[in-house]
Amino acid sequence: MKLHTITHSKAETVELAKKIGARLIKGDILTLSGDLGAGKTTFVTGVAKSLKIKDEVISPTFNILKCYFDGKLPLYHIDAYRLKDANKDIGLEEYIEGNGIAIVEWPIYIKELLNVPHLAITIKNKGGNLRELTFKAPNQYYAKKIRGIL
Amino acid sequence: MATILAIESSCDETSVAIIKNGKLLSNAVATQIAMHRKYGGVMPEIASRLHNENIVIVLHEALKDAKIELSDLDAVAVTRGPGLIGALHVGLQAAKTISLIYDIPLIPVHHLAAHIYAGEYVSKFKFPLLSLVVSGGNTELVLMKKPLDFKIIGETKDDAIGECFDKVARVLGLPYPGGIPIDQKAKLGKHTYKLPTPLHGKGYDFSYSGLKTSVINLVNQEKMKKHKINVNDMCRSFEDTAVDILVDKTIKAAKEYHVKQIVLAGGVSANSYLRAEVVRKLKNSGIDIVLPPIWCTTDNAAMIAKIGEHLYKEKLFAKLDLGVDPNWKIDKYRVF
Amino acid sequence: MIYLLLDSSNTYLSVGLVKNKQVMDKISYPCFQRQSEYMVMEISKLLKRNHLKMKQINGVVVSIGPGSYTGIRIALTIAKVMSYALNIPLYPLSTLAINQIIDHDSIVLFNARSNRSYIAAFSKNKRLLKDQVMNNDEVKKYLVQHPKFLLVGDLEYLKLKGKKVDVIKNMSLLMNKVKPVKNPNLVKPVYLKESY
Repeated sequence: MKLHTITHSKAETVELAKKIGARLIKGDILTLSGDLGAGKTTFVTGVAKSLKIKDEVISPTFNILKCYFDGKLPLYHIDAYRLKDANKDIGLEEYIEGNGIAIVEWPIYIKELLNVPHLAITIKNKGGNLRELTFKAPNQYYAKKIRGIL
Repeated sequence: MATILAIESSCDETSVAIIKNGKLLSNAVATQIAMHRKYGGVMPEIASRLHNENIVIVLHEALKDAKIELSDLDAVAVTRGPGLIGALHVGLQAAKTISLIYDIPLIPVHHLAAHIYAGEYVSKFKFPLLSLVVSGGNTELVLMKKPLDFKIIGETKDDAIGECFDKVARVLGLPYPGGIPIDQKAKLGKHTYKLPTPLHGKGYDFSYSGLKTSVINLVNQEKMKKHKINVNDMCRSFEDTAVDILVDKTIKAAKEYHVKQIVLAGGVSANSYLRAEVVRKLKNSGIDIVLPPIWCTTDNAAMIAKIGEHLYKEKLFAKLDLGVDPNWKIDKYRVF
Repeated sequence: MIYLLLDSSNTYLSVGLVKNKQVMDKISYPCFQRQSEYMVMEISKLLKRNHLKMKQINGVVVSIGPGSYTGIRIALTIAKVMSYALNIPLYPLSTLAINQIIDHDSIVLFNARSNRSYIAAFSKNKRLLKDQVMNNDEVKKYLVQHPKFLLVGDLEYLKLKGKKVDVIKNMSLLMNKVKPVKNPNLVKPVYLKESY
């Protein structure tokens, strides 16, 4: 199942992410693809809000993995950007298929770890504050997570 | 006085240092050792983040260079956070094991606090001081009214300045990490591109994500108009914008809090423009500036050792069930 | 000769002491993602209640994988630093081997993620299948082909139930089958998934 939508502001993106976040349970996996500056981490902020995580969600690019344990469920925010030409065997699979919710930015660089069903989200910067979001659900399970969300 | 072993493995690098009576006896860093030695026929792994494979080699190197035995140690200090969780675990086990074998205190160290204290290798601290901590994953303004007293008065709400440099470098086709290449190209360019300042409200917080997005939007717009981007000029424009706001907020905060000293800290504090601007804008201000030595700006155990000594005197010791905290905040460094 | 036995390669934390080939004492409990906090403390507890000090340990027996990436590294880092500091040998054991049911046909399975498993099989105290990564469809076929084998491991991901084993006991028996390693730098975690 595929869904498209346009958001007109950061706040709108966060709201949308919050709605989806509310439907996620332990073991769910989201991937976020899109160019630099598209708003991937902004999206994660919304999911964190739905989990009532108080810590600020900031870019995990440098540390690759940021863990948030203070919400309703553990949130594992991964950014594979720095793993493009680097050693990828750093145990991320245990967080992706782990005991919380995993969100992976730049999944293309660790696609070997993502051969499992997940909700694939792409964000395109349409200029200014406009963003086009595409949601791809590979099965009924993830389709339910996005059905009626818009 | 004490001989302290320090271990740092918070993200990419594995490092061990030894300090005695304020004097750094050794500072072994994995990615540097790997180039030169073989260990019992084993080529040390060069790839970063292989902390388990490196730790004994780096430990041995540090002890050898310092001409110290493990039994000479009075305490062991280790980075407890913030950082990459799996990496932190390895350093912690090594430290705990040494602590148990030799029955010496275990000192938990905050990685960013350590970056600040790296400044002590250059100059004595004068309080109150303001530290601008700019590393790979962090951008924070930290006020210190007295030793080991940290208050965050401003931080990034999204990207760290280091990450912003790296991403802009990528957009411009420059190598990673982006700090040095952008700095070099900027020296050859002029500030001709208009970019928005990375402000976040009236306070001392920063937001570099917007600046990053602006560079990207501008590059894309120029591409669509079939204009060629002058990379040197873009680097100059970006560096000015990114660094100027950092310096300006730092100075504003320094004046508001009547600090005697400004201490730069973290990997990005090696940026020549940042260093030059801080010095230039604070000339005749009466505020002292501490620029950390370049060798000590990147992640290494020497800075862990430096603050470790202070924490040792404070007896800030942990029990053997100490855990890591990848999100540890600097103002909570006493909580572990 | 006194040996310290360590395993944190999956969801359990296990530490044990072996003297004269017998298990003297042990501590073992489920400790998912918390071994980093408790392992050294449990070692300390175990030594204290047996009136021993670290310096009296003559060797360290440690499981090195395949299993949990982080878990393996916790026990292995402790073991390597001990080996280096005390100048004592390491006895590296396969995580799958230490989970077998001695004296019975058994298949050991752990989740290797990406729809795969770490698998090994043992029959009549001998290796039937060497440690490897196998696609879960192949795993199911393998299980069907070996119906009388007992299953061991964390098997919820396959919706199966595994038997429990005494890992420390197994380690105390298997340590005699491996060559002690004097240089800790030669011991690396076993990952088996280097597919990049």
